[in-house]
Amino acid sequence: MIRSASHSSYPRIGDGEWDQQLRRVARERDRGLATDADFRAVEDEVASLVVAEQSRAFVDVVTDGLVRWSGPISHFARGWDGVALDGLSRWFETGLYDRRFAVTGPVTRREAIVVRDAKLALDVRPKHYKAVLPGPVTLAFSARVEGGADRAAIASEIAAALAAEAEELAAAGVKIVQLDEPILCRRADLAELAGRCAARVFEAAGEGATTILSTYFGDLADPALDLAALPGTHLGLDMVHGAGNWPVLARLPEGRGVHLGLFDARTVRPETAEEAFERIVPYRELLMARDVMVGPQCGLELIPRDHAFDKLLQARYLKETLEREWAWRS
Amino acid sequence: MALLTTTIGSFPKPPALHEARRRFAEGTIEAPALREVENEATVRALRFQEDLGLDLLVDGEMDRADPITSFAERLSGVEIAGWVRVYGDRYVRKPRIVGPVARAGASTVERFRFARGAASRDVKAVVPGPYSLLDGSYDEHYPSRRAACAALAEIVRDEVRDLAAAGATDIQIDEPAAGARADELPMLAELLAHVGEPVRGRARLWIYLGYADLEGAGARLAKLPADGVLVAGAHCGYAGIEAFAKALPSDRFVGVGVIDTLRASVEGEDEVRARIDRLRSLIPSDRLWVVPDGGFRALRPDAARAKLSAMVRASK
Repeated sequence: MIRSASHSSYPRIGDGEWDQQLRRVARERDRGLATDADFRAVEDEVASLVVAEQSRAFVDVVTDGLVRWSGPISHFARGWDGVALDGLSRWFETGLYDRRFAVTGPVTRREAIVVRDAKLALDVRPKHYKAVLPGPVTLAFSARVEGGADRAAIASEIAAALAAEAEELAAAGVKIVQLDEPILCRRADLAELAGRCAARVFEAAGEGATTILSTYFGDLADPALDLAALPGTHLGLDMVHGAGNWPVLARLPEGRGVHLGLFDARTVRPETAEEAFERIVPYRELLMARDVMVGPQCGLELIPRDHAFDKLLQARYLKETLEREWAWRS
Repeated sequence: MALLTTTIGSFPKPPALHEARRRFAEGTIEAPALREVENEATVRALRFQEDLGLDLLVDGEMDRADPITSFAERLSGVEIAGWVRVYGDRYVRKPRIVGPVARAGASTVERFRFARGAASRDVKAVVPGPYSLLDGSYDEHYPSRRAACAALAEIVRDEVRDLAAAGATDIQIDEPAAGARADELPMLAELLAHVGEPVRGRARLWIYLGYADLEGAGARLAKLPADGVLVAGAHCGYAGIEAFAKALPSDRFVGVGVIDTLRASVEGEDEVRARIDRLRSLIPSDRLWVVPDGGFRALRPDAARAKLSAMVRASK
């Protein structure tokens, strides 16, 4: 099966007067002219619009754009005990900053964090909705910890908290869950731990769920990395900033689906479906035996909204090209 | 011993300036009318700093929504791509390099001259650095990051030279992206040396490193070529400060943030003094400057005043 898919985040504001609501209400809140409740109401509205906008690009698998997330690292701290927000740091080499976790005790889940978001997104009735969760290993290994703390144990605690979240997401009707572990592209030595943690989360996502272990900002080309040990129905691979991932396709276990990041979500340079198609032609046999999603290689909030929309349109055109040229069923 | 104080660059914009900018964008007022409101706001920002007793002043960036974009959009070869989130609820209009970058004239000199003329103490000029200009833009023109960064370095070098010619004795180059890619630090060091070369011995050159990861790259960042280095620290409890301080060359001035400008809550004077004491234990007092972590752009004026007031009192 071939589908087009959004990766995770989507720009919260655009250039048009009516695309600036969230920025406007944030400024009003800063000046004491709007309340937190006003801000949250606009956030809900924008999240629904973002689901609709992705659907308007006729992308098969959409997200809520992570519109309510404070950042790729910090957001889940609000619902967990044992973590506090620490200093500002960069999200890998991107221009996006976020607060780091400081681990202050055993990490446990106090309340649901994205379950309400998922319910509201499903209300928009997208074709397929994907919930996104941060990777336990990426969180644990970028956190500030007291000297000598066992980061692997922290990752396991985070995985347990995320498993509880995944279970509630499943109960809310979510059938596709993605776990983001970009750190695997830098730390192949963490693959075994990441696999164990992801397995715990995916198991809670329910039988029959599509589960994606997403990696980006690099490749999984390290030959020591046991791809078969990585769980999930799909493995997310960055084919733009991880050129070494093309040979990885041949090493994937039989039957493992792939979420191919073919469009560069870090540049506004125009890309076309035709160019992406040419790049994957040599891998036809490897790909057609699998369930494949095509889309941007990471979240789209690193580029302006009109460019983000165009990347999704190209993903859709690529899927349509593959259906037409390879008679691939969607 | 009292320590010297300065700030990083931006101050909260008054409501009248927001309104003037809105009206300018709508086309209901002309550039001179907007400039008049900016000038009034600049004078207020200077008086605010003078009243608090800061030693080295800044113009408050009243003519800039964002330092990178405002500088880049005045260059040829650059377009503005659109709004992108950078942190929390903060967004910038990110530039896009589409051709060879070139400067039609100085961007910051006129504002510096105005501020210096209106101030009773020295004013520090502030310009974005080449590496952060590249990092804050989409490059679609140059064949490599090095080529793009070198082209931007020529522009910043000319700006720095013009600022010194206009009388600037302290010039701050903003490089908040400096630690983003450790493998590019040698390139950054080389280009910063080139940027500062025309004013060496005539002006004191500062580099502001923003929220750089001192745990990972502090020792290397400390050695970047400049007369002074400024860096945030309060936001993260000074993680990595020991290695950074230890690596500082003996002739380097250093300002480390003692108030967190990303949080609205106001630190008490004792809390700030404790932070300063910690820094004093690592950096000789005759080289240590007391600064906030970053600019005050996102804070309400009352919070900015209270935080800065606590900082100045604690430093004396």
